[in-house]
Amino acid sequence: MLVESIVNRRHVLQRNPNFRGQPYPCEGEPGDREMGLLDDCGKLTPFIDRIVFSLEKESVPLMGKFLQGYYDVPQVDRGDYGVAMRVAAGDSADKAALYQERGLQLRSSTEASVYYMGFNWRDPVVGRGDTPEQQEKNRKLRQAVSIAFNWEQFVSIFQNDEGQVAYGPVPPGVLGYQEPPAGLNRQVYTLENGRAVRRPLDEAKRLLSEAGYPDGRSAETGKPLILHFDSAGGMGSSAMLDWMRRQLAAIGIQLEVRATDYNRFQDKMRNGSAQMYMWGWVADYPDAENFLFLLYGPNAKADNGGENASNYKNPEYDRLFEQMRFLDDGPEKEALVHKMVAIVQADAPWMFGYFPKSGGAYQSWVGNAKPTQMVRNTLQYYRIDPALREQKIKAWNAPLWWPLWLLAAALAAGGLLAWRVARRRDRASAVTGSDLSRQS
Amino acid sequence: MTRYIVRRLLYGILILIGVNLLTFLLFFAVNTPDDMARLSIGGQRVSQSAIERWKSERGYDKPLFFDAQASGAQKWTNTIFFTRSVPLLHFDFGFSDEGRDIGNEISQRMGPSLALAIPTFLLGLFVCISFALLLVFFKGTPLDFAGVVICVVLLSISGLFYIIAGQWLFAKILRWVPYSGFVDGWGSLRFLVLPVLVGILSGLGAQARFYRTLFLEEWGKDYVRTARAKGLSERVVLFRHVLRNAMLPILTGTVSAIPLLFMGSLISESFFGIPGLGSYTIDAINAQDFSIVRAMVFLGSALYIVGLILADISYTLADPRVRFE
Repeated sequence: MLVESIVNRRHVLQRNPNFRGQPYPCEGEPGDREMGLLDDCGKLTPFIDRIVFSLEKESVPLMGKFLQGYYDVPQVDRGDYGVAMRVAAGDSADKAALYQERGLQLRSSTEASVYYMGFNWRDPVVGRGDTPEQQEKNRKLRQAVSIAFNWEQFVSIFQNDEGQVAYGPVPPGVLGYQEPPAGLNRQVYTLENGRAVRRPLDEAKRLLSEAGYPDGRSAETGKPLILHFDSAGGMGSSAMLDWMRRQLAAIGIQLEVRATDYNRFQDKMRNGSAQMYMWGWVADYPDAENFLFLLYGPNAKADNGGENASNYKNPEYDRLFEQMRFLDDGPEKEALVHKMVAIVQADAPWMFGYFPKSGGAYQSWVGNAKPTQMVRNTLQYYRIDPALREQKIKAWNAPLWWPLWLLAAALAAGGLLAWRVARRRDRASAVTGSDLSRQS
Repeated sequence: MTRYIVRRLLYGILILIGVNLLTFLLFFAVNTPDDMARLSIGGQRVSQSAIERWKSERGYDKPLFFDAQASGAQKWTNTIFFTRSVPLLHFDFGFSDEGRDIGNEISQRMGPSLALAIPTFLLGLFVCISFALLLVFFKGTPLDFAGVVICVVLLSISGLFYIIAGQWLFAKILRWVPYSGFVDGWGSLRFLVLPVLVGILSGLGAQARFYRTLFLEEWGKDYVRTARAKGLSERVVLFRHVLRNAMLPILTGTVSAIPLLFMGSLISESFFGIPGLGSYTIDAINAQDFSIVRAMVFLGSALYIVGLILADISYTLADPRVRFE
């Protein structure tokens, strides 16, 4: 129960003496048992009597205090610091050695969330298209763009490899997700030696040509094809936007960035006036419905204010969604999800982007810890070894006093020097020797 | 002098109205009440009805400046600007967009802000004046040259660097003090040592250079030569004559800064985890809480005006020749 709450400073939770207790889970994801995460199976939680949340506004003191052992976990609500520490350990041998010496547990897991790049279905160039011919041309354009955008590189550069490239809208851990080869987006990838390989740029160029833009120019007018990316932040000059421009430039398409703040971006999405945009979705619950509804026609944002930001509409998809949405998990639902994913892979209203990973950083004395953004009540499962914590904090934080004596000695030497200069000046005569010789 | 102070206070009210208008315009030019509602409600599915309810609960459903549908004076009074501005003039800050009493928050947070600001201000003043006097005392020697070089280096470095470097050196490497934190009472001393030291050091270069210039200006005057001719030692000349006569411009800067101590430090408080008014303002800016931002800008302006009036008054105390008539 909450016993103290100071906004933007500190919150304290304490064990409720009247709580009946909840048994610790006995089942988990693959690998949980091997990691000892199911050892407390059946025991009543919570294991901790008191939890103090301190709000640190800046990352430098937060990380500093975590590494000194004053925090058991650097972040409870998100996994950014865990990810950052994993990346730092990968980049720097010194940091990896430090984390190892401190016994830090750095764990990661793919989240039930997706970051995607969407095409506005209402747009005449990248959207659905008015006539069947135009629809096919637009689809080929979207497919060409999807091939050109190298999401593996994006995840590597901008997410420090802390993400999993998506082949569809349903993330791992959710019923309906399929690992490659079954779940591979064959519009964009081919399978070579069991590995997903992005289709070559030549194929993207061929698709672009079939879409009516040979070499990135309109076959009718000869004008260059310019696509617009409606960015939700920055001033259009970030490294990420430059990278995006280069991806499309590789197949001869010019990308123009229309950067606004997030509020204006939301306006554009509500009005349906964006062309290409990047957005994300964090699941409310781990069900495919909570991702597939982002492409359900009646949820179109511009028409009905829903969460279908691409305003995608496909009657077959909508029909399947209505069949699937109220089904319990099972083979029937799974089969419907697979069909729906195949439809959106073919239609390509999104480039499916990536599923971010969540990282967790925990001190060695923290037990039963596993990063997740979906399950929010994990605090009750944590175990703490307070004796080990006290011992480690003491060992890691012994002050280093010798520089203080050095500083004092330097100050004393400076004082002595100043005193000597002052004394010499006080004793100096007003008239110098050269002045005397000049007078004589 | 009373007439002068009353006149300045009346000017101050006009300035405050102008500041309030400007803040209002700037804030609503980039951030409409709808945007504020969306940000505040958050979540993934913000409905228009939720936005309207949020605005209605906080009085943001009114027109900004002019209500064409109202009659008489209400055309002007039934607006967000009027309802949010008039109470400010008698320091009624109202409630934040989160529903918290801003006046109460300010009174709660003023203590931690002053706990950092007062020692930084007083010790900083003492250290800077002492250092500047030392430089003047050793004028023309290598010590003076080295001191000036140090001042230039110190003032060339960003304040943020002092904070990060200070935390790295004193909290991480030497482990003499904690990185950040604050507790009520004397226990917070150990948390305040580093921010105070950083505050003094980051201001030392610029202030010491400025004070040195002031002292040197006095140093060359006739009365100083006369004092020397009388056989007074350099120390006596410096402390009894030069320092006293150079106090007038020092007083101007320091007295006008005193009221602003209440506002806290935006960056230091955030980095050192001090729950004062500086971090309160930063939090409000991040949360786009217009009510708090407006209250803090208004309070800052009012304190600045008070500071300038106090500085004017202090002239007459420091130099009897100065009169306002």
